Amino acid sequence: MLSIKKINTIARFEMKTLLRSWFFRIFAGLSIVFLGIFNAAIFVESSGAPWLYRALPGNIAYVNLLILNLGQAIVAVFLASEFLKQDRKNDTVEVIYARSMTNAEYIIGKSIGILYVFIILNLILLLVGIGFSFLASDSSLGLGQLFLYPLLISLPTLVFILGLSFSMMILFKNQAITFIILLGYIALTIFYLNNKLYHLFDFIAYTVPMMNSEIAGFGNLNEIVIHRSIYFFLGLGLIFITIFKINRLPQSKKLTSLPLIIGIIFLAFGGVLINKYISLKEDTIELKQEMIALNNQYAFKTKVDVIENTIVLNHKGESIQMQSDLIIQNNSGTIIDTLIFNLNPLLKIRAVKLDDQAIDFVRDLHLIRLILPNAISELSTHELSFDYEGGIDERTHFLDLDPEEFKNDFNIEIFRVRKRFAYLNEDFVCLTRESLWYPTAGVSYTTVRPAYYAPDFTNFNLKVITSDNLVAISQGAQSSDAAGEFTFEPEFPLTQLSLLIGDYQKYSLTVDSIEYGIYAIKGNEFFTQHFTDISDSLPGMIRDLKNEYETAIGLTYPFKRLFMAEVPVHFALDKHIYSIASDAVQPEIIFYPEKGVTLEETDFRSRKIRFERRMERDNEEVTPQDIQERIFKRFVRGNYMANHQEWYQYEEIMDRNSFTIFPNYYNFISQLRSEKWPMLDLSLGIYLKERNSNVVSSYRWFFTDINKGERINLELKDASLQELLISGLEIRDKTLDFDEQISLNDIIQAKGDHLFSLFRARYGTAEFNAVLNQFVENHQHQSYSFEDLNEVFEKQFKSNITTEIADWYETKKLPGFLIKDIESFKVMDGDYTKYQVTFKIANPEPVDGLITFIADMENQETRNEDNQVLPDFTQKIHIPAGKAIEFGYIFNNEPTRINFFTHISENLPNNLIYDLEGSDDIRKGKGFEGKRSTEFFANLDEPNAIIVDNEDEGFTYFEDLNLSYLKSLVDKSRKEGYKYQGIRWWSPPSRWTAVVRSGYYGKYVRSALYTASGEGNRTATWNAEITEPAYYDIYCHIEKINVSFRRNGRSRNNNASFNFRIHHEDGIEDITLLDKDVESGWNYMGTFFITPETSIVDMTNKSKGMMISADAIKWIKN
Amino acid sequence: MKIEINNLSQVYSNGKKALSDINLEIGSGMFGLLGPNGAGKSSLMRILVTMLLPSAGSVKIDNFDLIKNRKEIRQMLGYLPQDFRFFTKLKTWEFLDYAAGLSGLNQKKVRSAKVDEWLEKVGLFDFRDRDANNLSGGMKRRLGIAQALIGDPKIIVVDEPTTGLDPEERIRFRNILSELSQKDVIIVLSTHIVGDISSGCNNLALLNNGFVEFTGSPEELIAKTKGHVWQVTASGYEYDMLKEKYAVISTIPTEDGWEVQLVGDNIEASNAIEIEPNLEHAYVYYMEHLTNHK
Repeated sequence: MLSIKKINTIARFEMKTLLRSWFFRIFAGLSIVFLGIFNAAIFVESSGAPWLYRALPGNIAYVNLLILNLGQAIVAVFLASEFLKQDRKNDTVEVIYARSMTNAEYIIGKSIGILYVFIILNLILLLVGIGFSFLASDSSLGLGQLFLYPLLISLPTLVFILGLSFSMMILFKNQAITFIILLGYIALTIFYLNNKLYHLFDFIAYTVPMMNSEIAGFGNLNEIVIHRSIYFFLGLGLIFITIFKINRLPQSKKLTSLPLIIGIIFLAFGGVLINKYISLKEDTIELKQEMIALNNQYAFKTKVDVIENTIVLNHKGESIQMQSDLIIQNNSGTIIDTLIFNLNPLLKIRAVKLDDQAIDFVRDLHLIRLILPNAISELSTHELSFDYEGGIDERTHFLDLDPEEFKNDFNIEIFRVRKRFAYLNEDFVCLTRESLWYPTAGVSYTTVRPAYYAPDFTNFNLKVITSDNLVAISQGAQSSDAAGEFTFEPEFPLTQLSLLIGDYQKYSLTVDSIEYGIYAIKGNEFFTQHFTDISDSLPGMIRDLKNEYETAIGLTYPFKRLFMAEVPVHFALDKHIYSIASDAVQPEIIFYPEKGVTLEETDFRSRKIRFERRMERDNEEVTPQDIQERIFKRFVRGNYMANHQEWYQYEEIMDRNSFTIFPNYYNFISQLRSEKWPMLDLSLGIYLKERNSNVVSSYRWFFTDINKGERINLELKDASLQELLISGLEIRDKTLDFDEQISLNDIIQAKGDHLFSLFRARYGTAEFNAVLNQFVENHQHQSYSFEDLNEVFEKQFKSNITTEIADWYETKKLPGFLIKDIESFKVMDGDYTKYQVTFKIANPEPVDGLITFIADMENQETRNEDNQVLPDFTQKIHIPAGKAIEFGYIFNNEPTRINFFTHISENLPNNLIYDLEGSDDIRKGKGFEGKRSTEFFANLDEPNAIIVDNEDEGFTYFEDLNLSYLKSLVDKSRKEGYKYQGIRWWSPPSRWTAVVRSGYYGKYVRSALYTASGEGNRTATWNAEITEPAYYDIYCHIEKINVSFRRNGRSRNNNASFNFRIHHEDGIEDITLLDKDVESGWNYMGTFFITPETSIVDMTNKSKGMMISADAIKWIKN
Repeated sequence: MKIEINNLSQVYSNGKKALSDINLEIGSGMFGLLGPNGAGKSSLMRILVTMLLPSAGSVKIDNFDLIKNRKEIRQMLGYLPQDFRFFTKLKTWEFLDYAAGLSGLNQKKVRSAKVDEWLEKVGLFDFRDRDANNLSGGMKRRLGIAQALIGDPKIIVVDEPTTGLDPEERIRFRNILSELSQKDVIIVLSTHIVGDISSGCNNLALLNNGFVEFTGSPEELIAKTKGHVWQVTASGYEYDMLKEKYAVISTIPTEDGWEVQLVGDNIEASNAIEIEPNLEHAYVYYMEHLTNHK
């Protein structure tokens, strides 16, 4: 038996020794100082630390331990290997070895000693964190949960790293080798392995989602415990193997193999946990796939409509007991012999009755097949009731997101958060339609009808019975007969019903017959103290904001109430393939993450301080009421009324529409249903939402990668929308950040907005929008068909759009734009000087196109209410297929730059920029304003020019691929991404890399290859097809890139030189052009006699600058 | 109480034979293991303190087998190794406290009293708060003996304890051991310094190249040397001749040349006078003479 006293003695002295070692002291001291400063900085208002840290300061302890954990893992490697090293070298240790104790007592004592000191350090940093959370008056998280962090983060890591270090020392018998190997292992884990296999390899726990909610605790404690136990038991296993292998004769001859057996048992248990962990994760994917397969099986089965649903929900701790009485109607146009319903698989059905008669049913996962005694005839109405009870399986949510790519956690700042899709706890419940908590007719997502979402418009009535101290929130007029009993009666049919139950406090007011309110979890009402002076002006502000938004979108709010309701920060903000917003947006209710941590502008205190400082600086006198009003408006606009271009802090987990109020204006009250083109509903929705937004991102920072819109164009060049919906979208570049990734939803939105914007440009903005508004108004609280929409087009615009929509859905062809003859000059309008801009645009492709023309004027900057920069002038222009049009604009101010934003098209980049040089040219006449047809043109080149571009077959390049192994690995991972990348001038690539830029040459794709300057080991060659020997003028196309952080700073690439070798009949001529001497555009290089054999120009990367690019060469016959 | 060593051999993995068929019986009191460097003393000691598994043979301590009953034997042991110089960051008293804790003194009060008692005994009480690493060589050795003895062990194994100590420390150290040897304990003292043995060993074994050359009391060893120790007065030339032929123990310069003490059989010197041998003479006689002329 082990002697606890012996272990304790060894541990005590090990701890004493470590606490006195300078190595540990320095580490501990630096950790405390660094994290102390970090913690303090978070609470200093001016530090700019995100609200998240102060709103949920209990998590500071989590961050502290997470940061510490990496450091202590490294230090533990050193300390663990150090003592075995000392033990081997010093005879002194033999006085200890000669004592009567077992090897197990010795190693365990040593390990515990090391753990003790780290635990002391952990507790100090935990207390620092807790201390700061006390300082933050906004905190309410119980302390008990915080003490779980050292157990979950540090203990498993330390036990594992100690075991690993001991066993490595025993194996290699060399501290340096052990140290290097383990450091390499730690680095590999952090930089590569930690995201593999559901974060299984992340022994440091950086990516294990452990963020704690003040409302509902950890995201999934079970998963965390399994993950951390894996490393705890593997560590113990390795420690026991060390006991077996240590270079000291065992105390007893009898049980010498016991440590080995125990070690193997622990390792095997670790293995079992690994298996359990992976199965947990893979079961999620498998279940989703099984559910989709099952849905596919019944995808085309005729369904009934659920007209009414009266629900009684009894909340019983972690389960619900429910009665759902439906009135169903067969509107399918045929008789129905089997009814298919959806219900969460964990909800067990006790009885189903049809017209008061019990009927049999077959349950398969989430689907219920009702076996009908008689078929349901056309247009008949029946009563159907379900009696069921149980829990909620969250794996049923978001089946439309690719299960293979499914991620159930996300990052906010340094925190890793487990996504939660539903809650069914004793004191908190959160259920949405996705939770399948009430029966819905038909199947959910199927891959055979992707993007098809056709919920019934149902008259719901909900009664909730819960604990006396809890409050239920759902859609409709609420009444409460007794404590813990709530009834909800929505005024009109809804497509979905949600339910929240929690310890909520309600704040509300009624403005113009609409009730506006906030449901905050008690203790989280931090916002009340920041808006004490606006109670009188609040109704007016709400009215103004509502009017402002409704003017922007052209629709009217149809509901009687609008609430914000607090949910845990873990609530998933994923977006369905068919949705504009996340599931946080429900009819009448918008869920907000606890204390609004991921919302914009929720840090009201900091915002107030910033306002006050700004006003002080500007000598502005503003009352507290003014400040509070501004903050309130900014908060509402930034979160619920945001347009698609608005900056957002947490781009990695959501987009600008995640919390938009817009679905309440369209998606929840009306629906365009089309079997053939189900995504038209989303298309129309996004058009309605964005149709009046003028904000255009015209300020591309020149070294960024190709943008989201350009990636969408590249996808659409490869596959039609139809093909993409069937095959799914392959993620091309997994290294991209979440906000840079594109999804099918993005493509549908871009394609859809483009389609309706084209209609608008074609039929006239005012008229088209008015027609649409009337149409939507006429179809409130019901669905309508594509035919209904087409009828309106036929009636109002004399145009049948069926073929056009089919083409839009099926074609891979995109419009392409060529722009030429851009002129700017002055014209006289009476006594006034005005500024004329003219240009011609052709669309040689067989698909209509849309282009947005933007002009920026000198000394003028327009901003909207949210301080976003608006273009000074913008107009969307429709360019029909195979047509060329000349446009003329007259401005009062001088335009300095014009942009053409090419939307969905062949053009890359999708923003063509032309700087206009001030012209003194004054022409007579009033000038030309409007559009007129012009001679069609299909390219921009001179008729006698022979041009070889880097996109052409005649262009080849050579690069010496003598790359280092590491570099080749990096390059390999990049290859999987998109062809075009951004210009990284601070570290140009060692290979020719394709980039796009408005100034490069190209018909539609304005691209070049660029690479780092070097000694000439990389070459580019342009080989023209010249059949006629003659004298030719030779030009090269160069785009000068101002490589500088400052806008007008000196370019760091201005000493670049272009070393061309021109092949001609008499040999080869070397031509060197200096960046500082050339102009952007075509540059003349000389006139040479060229034969078919010598129609070649080479260029090398030999240059003094930072980088060199290879674009196009032009030969013009003399 | 006794230690019985039977046919003990130790061969290292590199093939080096450190001990060859050793047979010894060690009773209470101080037992000296005498031999030159590399004779196998440390190997024997390390086997005795259970640090090393012997290749063959057995060791029994009071009927406990060294291999089978390590627990019981380790409970009886106090060990001071040869290279007792490096400590981790512990104070003098803490190191002793650690040793006391490991030897089974679990009660803090008792342990503290024992620590103080031993610090007093070895003259380190005034240095109790000094880092053990900062003690002088002699103090470290005294700390070593204190830690070896603090649990009242029955068997005390001391390996080369006086190496590197100044004469004063050496005497002090020998006195501590002599005092201890009066109790019912076995002290196994390994040394290549004859003086360590002469100051209190009841019995000794002479080890050379892994073999036991002699076992018995120091007196027996000395007796065996009787008639083989000589004093010769020699000129320079004669001295050189003697050095060639015999093991010279000491040389004192005189007016006529050298007064030389040497060991050997049949000394070929006319003025050789047989003198009474001491332990040093006996050691040299055995080591230098017997083994070289076997």
